[in-house]
Amino acid sequence: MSFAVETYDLTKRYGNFRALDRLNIKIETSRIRVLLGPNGSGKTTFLHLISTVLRPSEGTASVLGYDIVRQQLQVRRLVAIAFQDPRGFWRHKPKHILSFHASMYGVREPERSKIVERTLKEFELWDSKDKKFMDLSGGQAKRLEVAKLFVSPPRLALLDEPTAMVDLDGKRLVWDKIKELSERGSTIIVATNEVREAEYLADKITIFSSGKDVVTDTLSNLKDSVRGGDVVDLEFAEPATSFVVEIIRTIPGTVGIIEVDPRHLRVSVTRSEDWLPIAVKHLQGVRIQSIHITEPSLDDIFMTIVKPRKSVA
Amino acid sequence: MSQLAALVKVTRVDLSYFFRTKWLILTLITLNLSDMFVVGLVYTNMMNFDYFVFYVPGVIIAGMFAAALDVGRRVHLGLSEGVSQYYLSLPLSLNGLAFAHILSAGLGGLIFSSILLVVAFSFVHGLLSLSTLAMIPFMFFVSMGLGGIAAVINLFSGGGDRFWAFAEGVQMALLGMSTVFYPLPAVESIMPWYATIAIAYNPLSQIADALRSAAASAPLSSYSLATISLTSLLMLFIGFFCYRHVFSKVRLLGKI
Amino acid sequence: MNTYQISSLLMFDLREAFNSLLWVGYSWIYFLFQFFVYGSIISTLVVTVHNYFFYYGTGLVVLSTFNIASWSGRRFVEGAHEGRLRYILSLPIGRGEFFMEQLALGVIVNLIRTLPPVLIVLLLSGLFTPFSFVSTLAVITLLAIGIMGLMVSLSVIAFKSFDIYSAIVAALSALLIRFSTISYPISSMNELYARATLSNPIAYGADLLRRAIGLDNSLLLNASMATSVLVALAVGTIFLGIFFATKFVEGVKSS
Repeated sequence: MSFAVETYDLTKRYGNFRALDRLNIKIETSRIRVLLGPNGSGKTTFLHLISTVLRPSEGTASVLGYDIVRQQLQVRRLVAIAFQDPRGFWRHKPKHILSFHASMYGVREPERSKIVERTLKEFELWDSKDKKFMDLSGGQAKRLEVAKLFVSPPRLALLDEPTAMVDLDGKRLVWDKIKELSERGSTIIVATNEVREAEYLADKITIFSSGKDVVTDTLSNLKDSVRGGDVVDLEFAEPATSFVVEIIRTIPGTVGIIEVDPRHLRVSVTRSEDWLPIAVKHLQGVRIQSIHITEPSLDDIFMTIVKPRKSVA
Repeated sequence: MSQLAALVKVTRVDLSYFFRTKWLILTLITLNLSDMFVVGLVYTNMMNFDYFVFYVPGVIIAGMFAAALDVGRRVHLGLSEGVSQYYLSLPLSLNGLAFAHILSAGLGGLIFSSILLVVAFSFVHGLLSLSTLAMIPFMFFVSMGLGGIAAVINLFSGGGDRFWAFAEGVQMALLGMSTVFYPLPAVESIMPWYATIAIAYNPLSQIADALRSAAASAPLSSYSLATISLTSLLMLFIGFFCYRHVFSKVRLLGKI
Repeated sequence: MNTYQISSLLMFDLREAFNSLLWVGYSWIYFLFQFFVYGSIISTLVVTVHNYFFYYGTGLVVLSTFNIASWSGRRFVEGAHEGRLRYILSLPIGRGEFFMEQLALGVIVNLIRTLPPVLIVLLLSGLFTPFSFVSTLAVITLLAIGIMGLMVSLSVIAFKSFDIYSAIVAALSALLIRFSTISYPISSMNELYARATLSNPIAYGADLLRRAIGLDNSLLLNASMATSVLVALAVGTIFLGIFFATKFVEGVKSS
């Protein structure tokens, strides 16, 4: 298997803070890899490093066979990035921004104008082609940012939260276009903290936390790998006391407990069919309003792996 | 919270933004001091009168203008960044908000020019006098008037990045068409009579000349002080209504 | 060298620079006002310089070049904080090439903005000849390359902090403009100021420009010395800027 990106102890420091800490990761060619993690987990730093926008403090990475420290220009010829918060070209019009982007990758007229027109139409920006960037809505600006990658499809496309600020219709449009880009042979890396986006797009998911990659796998394997195969939602008539939480913790098969709200506990368990009868017995006297058993969602995996703030287990 | 307390709070926030940006204060002070001690001294060698003594009060007034406009620029930033929209959600009347912004510009200009004045005391000995101290309330009036000019610029520069262009243009016009940098006889020898009258009655000319009179221990003309007060008050009122208009528009449209 | 990409970037930046005609028009109005109001009044007071009006007008052209250079640097720093820089850094052009493009942008903007003032000074002083016009433009270009190189190099060093850049520009403005022959000849200065001025390349630029226009050269610095200083400034700042750009420039967290 060939890899589009391989990092070797890739590190980025700002003073004493390590935004990325000795990252070693491999990303397969022609696949969609989603980087999932909370804000500040190092996803954006990683994308900026492999697009050579940032310089690593230590370590390096190979991008499509080129070193990001010694062969920056070769890397940039093959990589394009859609940034998280598109800004900076306030007075330019969308058609000029796309035309400029295409020209930077060597697309010449008259081909360029045709590509720009087609891309603006595909991203539903044609009616706004003559507006100034500063007059676009947040969603339009974001679609324009993603559209840049389509005027000259790169071999490695990096997208940083591509659908933040985009409405529901727009999200689906962007996601489908990303899949289309992948089908055309580009390797895609998407950084997001939207679980739904990851579920829709990812061939593989890497979960980031505190500047490190915590785990990488397919969605189904990640679900299987969660400690505890099922999730049990318990709703109580009254707020669950610490005594109730303590009882649940001692039940054999309890893996983790998340307090959704004072009356609602979400418990990760190994096998719900074994766990539930014991739990009901132990919780006699506690007024339980409802019990729901579900498979763990990516949300649960994410919350379990990145240590939720409200975990009481 | 009473209207007065709210007004004081907005004024304090405006002022703290100005004085907290230490690099800006340092920038303005450096530029003004280099004007005094380089430009003023070299021009003295090129003219047949002590231009330095004439020029220093002019620099103090120019510094006051720059500081008052910068506080106004922060109001402009506040308009585009949503700070003004936040102020409008507070229990503070439109009049209170408009006046608070003009007051903060006035105080900013006064405090900044006082720093320059203190430096100037050491080099233009006549400046350190009771007459100069008596000028401070009038400097405050002029500074408030300049705050009013910042309001007018805010009204006309809208939501774009035109504030600086307009501010520099107004600064250039009002300082150039005044006796801040050159004496009235020099103006009279070049300018038509109507321009000379405008220059003579420019409050910046009046306050700069009053400071020069104080430095020369000459009696302060009550006519001149009355002109300073009236013209400053006029600018203040115009500015007040401009801010009222700006904030009414923001309240109506959400932005300027 | 990615000539096609660099020229595309230059055209894109020029489109932005001249998008708002307000700024271009404003710079001309500023010159007209300063020249005809301030310049003519202050000229009546100056007794040591013959024809100070045109001496001052030429100084204004140099001042305008300095201001446009500050603008170029400021634009670079603003770009770093507004997200423009990181985007450019992700494009397939070298850091050194990017620096050269920024330099070229500043020089072109400067030429367009200073052309009308130069023509006004040349025509009103009666010194317009094809030779004086061409040599004046050549000096302005050389001076612009030097000052742009200096300011863009500084912005490349200080690009992570807008405050630091502004403080540097203010300090430079206080030193390079005040201790120079932009507004007054070196003969009017005391010894200390004159010594500081003699180590300031902008002073040589201003006096060389006056020579190119054809103003009275009795108060001006030596021409061959001035040319050498300006060439050294231009070449030095280009190499320095490319070095800094290659070594230090990277994306900045947007503010």
